[in-house]
Amino acid sequence: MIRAQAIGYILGQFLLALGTLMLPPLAFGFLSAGDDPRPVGYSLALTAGTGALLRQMFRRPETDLTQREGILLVCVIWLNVSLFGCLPFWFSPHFKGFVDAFFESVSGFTTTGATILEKVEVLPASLQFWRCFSHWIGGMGIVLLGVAVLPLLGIGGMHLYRAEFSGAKSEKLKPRITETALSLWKIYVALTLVQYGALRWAGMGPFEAVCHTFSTLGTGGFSTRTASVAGFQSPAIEYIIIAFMLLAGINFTRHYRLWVERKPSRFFGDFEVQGYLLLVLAATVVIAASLGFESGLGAERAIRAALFQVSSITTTTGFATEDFEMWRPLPQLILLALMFAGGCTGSTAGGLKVARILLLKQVVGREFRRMVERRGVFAIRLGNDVLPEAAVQSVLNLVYLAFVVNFASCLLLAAVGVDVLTSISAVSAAMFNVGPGLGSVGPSEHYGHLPGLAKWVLSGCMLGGRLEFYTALVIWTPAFWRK
Amino acid sequence: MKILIAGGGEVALLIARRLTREGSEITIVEENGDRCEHLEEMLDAKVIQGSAASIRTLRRAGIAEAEMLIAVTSIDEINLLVCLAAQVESKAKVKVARVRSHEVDHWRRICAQTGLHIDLIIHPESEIEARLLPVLRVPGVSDVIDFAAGKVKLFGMTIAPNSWVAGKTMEELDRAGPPQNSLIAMIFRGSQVIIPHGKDVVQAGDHVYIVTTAQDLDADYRFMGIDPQESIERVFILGGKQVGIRLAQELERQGIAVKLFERDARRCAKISELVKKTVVVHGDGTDEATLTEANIKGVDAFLALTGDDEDNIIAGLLARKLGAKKVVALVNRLNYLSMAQRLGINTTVSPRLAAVDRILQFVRKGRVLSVTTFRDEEAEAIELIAQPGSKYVGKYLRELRLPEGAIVGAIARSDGEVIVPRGSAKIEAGDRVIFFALEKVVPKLESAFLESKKAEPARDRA
Repeated sequence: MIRAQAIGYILGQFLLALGTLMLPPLAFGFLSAGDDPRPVGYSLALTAGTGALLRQMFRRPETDLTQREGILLVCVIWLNVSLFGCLPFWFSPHFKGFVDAFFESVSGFTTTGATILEKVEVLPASLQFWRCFSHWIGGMGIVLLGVAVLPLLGIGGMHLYRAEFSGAKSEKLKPRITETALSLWKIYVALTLVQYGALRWAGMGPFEAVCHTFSTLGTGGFSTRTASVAGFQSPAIEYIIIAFMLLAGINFTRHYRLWVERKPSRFFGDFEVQGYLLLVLAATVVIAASLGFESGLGAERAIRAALFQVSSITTTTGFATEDFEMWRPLPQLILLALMFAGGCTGSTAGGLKVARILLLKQVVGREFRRMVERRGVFAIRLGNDVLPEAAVQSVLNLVYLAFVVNFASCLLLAAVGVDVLTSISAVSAAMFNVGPGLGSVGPSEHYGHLPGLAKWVLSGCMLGGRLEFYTALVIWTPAFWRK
Repeated sequence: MKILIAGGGEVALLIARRLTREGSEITIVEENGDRCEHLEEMLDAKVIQGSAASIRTLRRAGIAEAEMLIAVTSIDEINLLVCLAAQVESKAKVKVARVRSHEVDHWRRICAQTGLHIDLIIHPESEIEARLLPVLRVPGVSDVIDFAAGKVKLFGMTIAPNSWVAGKTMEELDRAGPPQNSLIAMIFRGSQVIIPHGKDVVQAGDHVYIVTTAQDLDADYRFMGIDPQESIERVFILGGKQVGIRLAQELERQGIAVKLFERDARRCAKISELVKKTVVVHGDGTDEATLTEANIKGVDAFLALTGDDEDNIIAGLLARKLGAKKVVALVNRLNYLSMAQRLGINTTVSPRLAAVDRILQFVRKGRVLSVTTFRDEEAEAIELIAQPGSKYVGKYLRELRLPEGAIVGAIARSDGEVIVPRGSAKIEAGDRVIFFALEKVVPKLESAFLESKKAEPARDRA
């Protein structure tokens, strides 16, 4: 049973919250020179108005949300937040059509960072801010924010949390779901303040520092400059952003163990953190070697460029300091592969997540061992925990589903005439919430020239990837709607 | 408050659900993986999979930080062991353990003598015994519950189709001249719970609860068409488990003739050693012939106390048909409780609910004097002391804006006066107030009675 009343009421709450979040960009609209507050102002009125209307029309649910309602609600909220979040873009003269505005908004909230803008600098401060702010909101998850601050029912909150937050099943920080959500958001806010301070120290202006902090920690990738981070030409800024991208790609419950509980062993001793750091290190070494020896960059520049691009792609941020399309084929392919891996579960990063990749490795290893020991029974272990067979299956299915969706989307893009390399990389970059791809959507290019249908497909990919496929896809199955 | 619950059975689930709603942080340790998943689904609580007897598991569950420990695994030894671990590993001030062994009194003594401090050892069987004994002498009455040290009584009964009460409104009943201190506090109808007001009608088949004082209790029984007996003579007990044996022993001490039916021959032999005058019958008590042969007609009470819910209910119905004046069934599954009552079982008892009541009452100790849950936790009777500064103190009842679904049932003044109040009564600070309310408004009411006006209920988050 799905109660339309409950869905409508809670959606109303979230739209009211989204309206509130439009206040800061509205302030920029009023305060900064040459800006126009109207696009954001109208959007705010429309969003909050719709929210208030929904709350009026529907009754507050008396009993807890069911799991199905939770899943549906997460999908409905993400779709609506993307829709209402695109209004400021749509109302401004800088976006040509609705699909462009929607694409930009989805790309913002899903922390993809793919843009349809040829030049970012033409945007006024209010819209620049909104783009990066949407990364920050979507990074930790708007539903999680809602669970933390809106007076939702406890168990209902749990279902929402599970449907949105990757790896939520692994660990719950606090007994109560609202407390857990609040703890995660507090760490997120703390990291935000620290990075802002660091960027200011490195000489970035206050507005750009805020925007880049939001984009980094949400692992989004929108920049205030068309040339992205390369536009600053500052190694200090690059190193700071590298550090915070890597931090944002780590499970936030691990951050909690390190910063709040002060148990470094539970941070560095975590198998996923280790695997993730090792992956970054290995990819950096290979790419730096290629850049240094084959492309002839200086040692420091080669290492920095390699580390930046590896961090940016692994954490699915999508900032760029180099046009990696100019690189040799091997580094390019490594970057494409890193898109699939992504960051850690429970981080703001996208991708399949390191833990799942490590699990796949074990599953393959087990098959080999089984071929040798016909009657052997082997458990799949993640770190010290043995994973139940059902959980292993569910991961395998997820990976399979990701590839099926990936391939189908590539076919759709190819059908509207996008070339092969661009299709493959654009779909992967969208699905794993990275941003820039290869081909005609590389780091120095944009998505604006793609056909309308391709933009819709990619928007769907971004949302599907952010909600890790199951949540986004299950609502389209007839079984979900059966009584 | 941070509460650690060892064991994830039904009792743990019920307690956890209630306590999370009241704002506590709950962690549950449960061994069975499937059960863990179920608990995660049902509760806003942290669930740790592992044995409660393992120190490492307990540490993982945060035993060091827990402020209260509730040990309700299915195994007595583990429950005591967890308390022992908590004594050393934890700052938990309060420890509660369930012990189902019939030697519970010995364990209480041994724990006290060895210095293992357990604040409450719950023994559900004796809770049930305490709950059953007072109702046996009144046919038709499902339960009698004491408040204010016995000065206030609450009794439940099902309205028979031929009862003169059926079809009357509250106002009509009032005009019929009931004893001064009496009030219909709750009506259970089908799956509905009604806190009745003047225009509400009592229907045949309703299960009603009436609050009254100790003096007026018998008068109230008669008003409702019940003929309380001075003494009872014969009781049948079905099932030779712990609670059945305990009751048989207690009843034979009171000089009542008891017949106890047990299917297992060896168990019969064992029971016959434990009881003195009770007749132990080796036979199937759910069988009509066996019961008729034992002369069931006119027996004062038939207590079906086997471990099987379905057997208990069916046997109870059979006994009623065969002429037992009162039938009692032990029902473990909570969702059977209301069904059993509707089918015609006079009284249902549940070891789980008894344990839950006792624990909740204890957890809230200090603020709340007693808590009784009805049905599947849909309604509660709460007894507490009204605090000075509460917004309900010093006002006439008719001026109080109680939340919908709540009623003040009785007031016990500090000078010993007990009233079942009408609109013109006033609640004073220090009064013991007994109120009845739907479960969802209980937190709101509790805080209104216990907190001063400035600190309005911040706990009301649901």
